Amino acid sequence: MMIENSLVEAHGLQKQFGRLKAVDDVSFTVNRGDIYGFLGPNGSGKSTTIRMILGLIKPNGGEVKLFGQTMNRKNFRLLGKVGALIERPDFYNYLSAEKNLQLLARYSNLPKDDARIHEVLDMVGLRDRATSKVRTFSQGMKQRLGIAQTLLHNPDLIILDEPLNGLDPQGIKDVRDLLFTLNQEMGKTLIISSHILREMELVANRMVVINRGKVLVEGEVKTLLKSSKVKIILMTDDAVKTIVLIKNAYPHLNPEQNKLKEIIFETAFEDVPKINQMLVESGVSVYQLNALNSLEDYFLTITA
Amino acid sequence: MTNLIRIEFTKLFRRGMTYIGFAAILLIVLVIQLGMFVEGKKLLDFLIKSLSDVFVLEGNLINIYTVSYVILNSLWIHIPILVAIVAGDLVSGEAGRGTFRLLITRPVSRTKLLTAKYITAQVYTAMLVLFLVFMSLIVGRLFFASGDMIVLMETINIFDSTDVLWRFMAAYGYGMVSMWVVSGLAFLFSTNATNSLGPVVASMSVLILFTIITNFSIGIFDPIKPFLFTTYLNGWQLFFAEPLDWKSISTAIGIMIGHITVFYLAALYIFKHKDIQS
Repeated sequence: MMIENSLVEAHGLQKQFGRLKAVDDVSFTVNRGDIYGFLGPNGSGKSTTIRMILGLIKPNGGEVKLFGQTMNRKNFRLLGKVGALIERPDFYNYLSAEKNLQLLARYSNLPKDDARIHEVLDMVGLRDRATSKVRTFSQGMKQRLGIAQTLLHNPDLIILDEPLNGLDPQGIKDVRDLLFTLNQEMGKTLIISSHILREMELVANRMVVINRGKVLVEGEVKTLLKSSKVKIILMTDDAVKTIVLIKNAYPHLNPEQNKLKEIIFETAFEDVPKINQMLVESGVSVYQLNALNSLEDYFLTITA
Repeated sequence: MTNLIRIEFTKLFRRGMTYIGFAAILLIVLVIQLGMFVEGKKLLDFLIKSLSDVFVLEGNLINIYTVSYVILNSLWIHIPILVAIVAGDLVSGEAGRGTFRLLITRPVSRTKLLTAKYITAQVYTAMLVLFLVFMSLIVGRLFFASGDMIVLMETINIFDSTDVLWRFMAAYGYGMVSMWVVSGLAFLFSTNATNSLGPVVASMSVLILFTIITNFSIGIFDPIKPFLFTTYLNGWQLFFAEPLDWKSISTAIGIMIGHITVFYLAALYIFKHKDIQS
């Protein structure tokens, strides 16, 4: 049996709601083993695109392929290999966490397996609240239960729409660890949309950035960040001499000293070691050199 | 499909709202039975005052059948609301709660999912009507004896006690079909709504509007009256006429089954083509 490398292929996806073009010619590919970041400001078309991948929304144009096959409403069986949490984690609040998962397992035609239900509850840290009614859960607990239900049928592809919403810092770390476990130890492919860009930077290996329904950029996170400018925070024994040296060597740069006596400027990623070497060779003692290359800065730059 | 229907029933009967219909029927029937038990004779004397001047009426006319006939009259007034509350929530409730996203992202066909919900709505409706049968004919037997029954329609019909029970069963069966029409209508509205109140209000509005048109003696509405389901809702009374008008009964049932089918097919079409955005 051939194993497909591309689990999700979107080609020229389009969706129009009335006069609003929510998604306009969106194409991307998610490969097996990816943690694929889906980035974009609110209303950029991320959720609509994810819903089109899952067949919740019918595209006006374009095509989605899941596991190499065209995904449409007739091909719903493909969803047996997908686990998804879309937007808010809504459940039957009058039922317990365990009962909710039992029902969802039955919808997926899975055999009755309480051990599996307890296993996934354990993975998200809700084992001891299995019998509690969902109406007693905090937003963070519902979020974790939402992730648990995606794992029930042991899918190859997991799609999580804003999975970190409502989580406290410890919860965020736990979910981040869980995502790594799912990806690296269990071989799951993940698509994650999140507005917490720092988390995406930590977790995703590839990403697509969408704004106003259009793809701005797609590729490996590291490569994309490398191609962007980095922010340098520099502390030396002689700030004035440092600024003069940098300006002489790189006239296009604009180093400035802040109130903390730090020198701050932006430059290309590959210039960082050269600047450091030049300063040291000129007799300047470099106490601190931070090259901040954040996805947030990158995101703001390209969506501006 | 059986699995999906079971799931729907598990969800349905874990909700308090589901039992409102049963509680309301329990109350309606008990109130009517209590009223008839205490004041029934006075009421009947008033109703048949003119008859007693002409006929000699002997025995107990306030019996289980007379009371059940009064209860049956509530069928097309109260039960439609109770039916619509649940049928109108089956699809829209999932959209309102956001749980549709959980269901539609499972490997389940939309046709099967909706059909399971439609069957659930109709079985629930049947259960309500059967509960009405239980309350009126079985629980009622604890308070009232059996006996002959007088029905005043266009003519006076007096039925022997041995000739009544099957008529009630047939009337309740007919009533069940008519409530399936109301349930189907509420379900149809439910497929295109994101809250439960809308389908209930919409189906009740249609019911009221069609009832007004049905009862209006204005010529311009006459051509459409045979096609309105409200024309047939109180057709259960046909089983308490002599001779029985089987042609009218079968036509009425046929038209109501037509409505039930059309409502299902329309709901299915909407649901299959619907974008799940909630």
